[in-house]
Amino acid sequence: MKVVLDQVLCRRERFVLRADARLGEGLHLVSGPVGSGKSTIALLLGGGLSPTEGRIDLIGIRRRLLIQQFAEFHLTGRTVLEEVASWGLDPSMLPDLAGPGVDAASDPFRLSRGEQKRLVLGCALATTPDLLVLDEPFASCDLRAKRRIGRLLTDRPGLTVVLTHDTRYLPAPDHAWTIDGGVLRSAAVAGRT
Amino acid sequence: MQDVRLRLLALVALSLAAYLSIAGAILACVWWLAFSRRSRDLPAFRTVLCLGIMVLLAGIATSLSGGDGLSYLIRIGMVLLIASFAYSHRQDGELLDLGVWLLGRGPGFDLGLTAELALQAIDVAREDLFRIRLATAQKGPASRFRRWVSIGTALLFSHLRRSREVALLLALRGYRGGGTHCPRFQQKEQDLPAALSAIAVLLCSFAVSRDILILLQ
Repeated sequence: MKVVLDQVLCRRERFVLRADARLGEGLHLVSGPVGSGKSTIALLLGGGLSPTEGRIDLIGIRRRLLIQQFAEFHLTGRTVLEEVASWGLDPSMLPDLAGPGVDAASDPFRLSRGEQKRLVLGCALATTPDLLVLDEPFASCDLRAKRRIGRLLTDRPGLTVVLTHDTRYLPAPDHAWTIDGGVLRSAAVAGRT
Repeated sequence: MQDVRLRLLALVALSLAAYLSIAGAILACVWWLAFSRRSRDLPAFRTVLCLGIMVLLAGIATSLSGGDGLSYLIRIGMVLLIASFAYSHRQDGELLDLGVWLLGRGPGFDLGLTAELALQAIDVAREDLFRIRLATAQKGPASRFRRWVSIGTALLFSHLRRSREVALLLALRGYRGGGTHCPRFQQKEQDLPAALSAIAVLLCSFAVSRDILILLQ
């Protein structure tokens, strides 16, 4: 299972991003300052954007999933229970996925941003896609939720790409990348946190 | 056209000319050919298609109800072309400049700020729609109707939440109505000739319409 970014060039208005990389199984961390192109990489890997030049090959990957920074983009159910079912999951998993204090009959759009994020991330991780791309997964989350996401990522099989500034609760990645001057580059892997 | 004041003047003059008569619409088209950046001033193909279908349907309905559908089609088509020209030349912050220049730091600032936020929301909505559609598609097959209801709901909620956050931010920064702003305008060489030509188009349109009315009588 791997993703090959072959001489990829992506142009979005005035911004240009270049990437030439191979991502194998395991946890990949992509970091970079605000506006460096992390979300563009996320959209490319998640299938939201096609490269202007070059190609992206998904080898041995049957299902990929991109979870964006704003969880409300992913909500489709009229109730929290319906939301869990919309991911193809058993509604009885709700307490594990949504966390404490979330009513099954409540409208998911009326949850706080943190609760929405916890619900969407919980569902996404439970569906076990081959390739999971998480754009700023810790944004809007409280300490407890951040720790929980970190634990779930430790045990996840397949290929996971996390694009974030906040690495405190992320398990030690198998490979780290940085975006520097519009180019995706391999970076040194920090020790386990 | 860089100067928003002259662009607004041209927009009003040309829209009025195009709406009043076929002759005005043709003159506005000549103006567009002379001063536009052609394809760069047109909206995306999908937008053109959607608007085109809507205007076409309205034209057919006008014809069926005894009106001149073809005339309606040409005139409204030209009004939309001019609107697209004005929108494509838009720059962030210019409506606030215009509001304060036109109506001062009280109501001018409020109206300018509201217009600016409204127009910026269109850009945000476009990006949100793209991201919501992507997120929804990843959940697997669903009926088209159900999917669009979900997309519409997510778009509405994300905008209501963003509006509340912007309102809170303005309140935190002490906004109670009105504000200090020094408008600045820049002009390109062709701005003034373009605006004067647009007024000439409107005057010609009035003259031609009057002549046609006299001939008809």
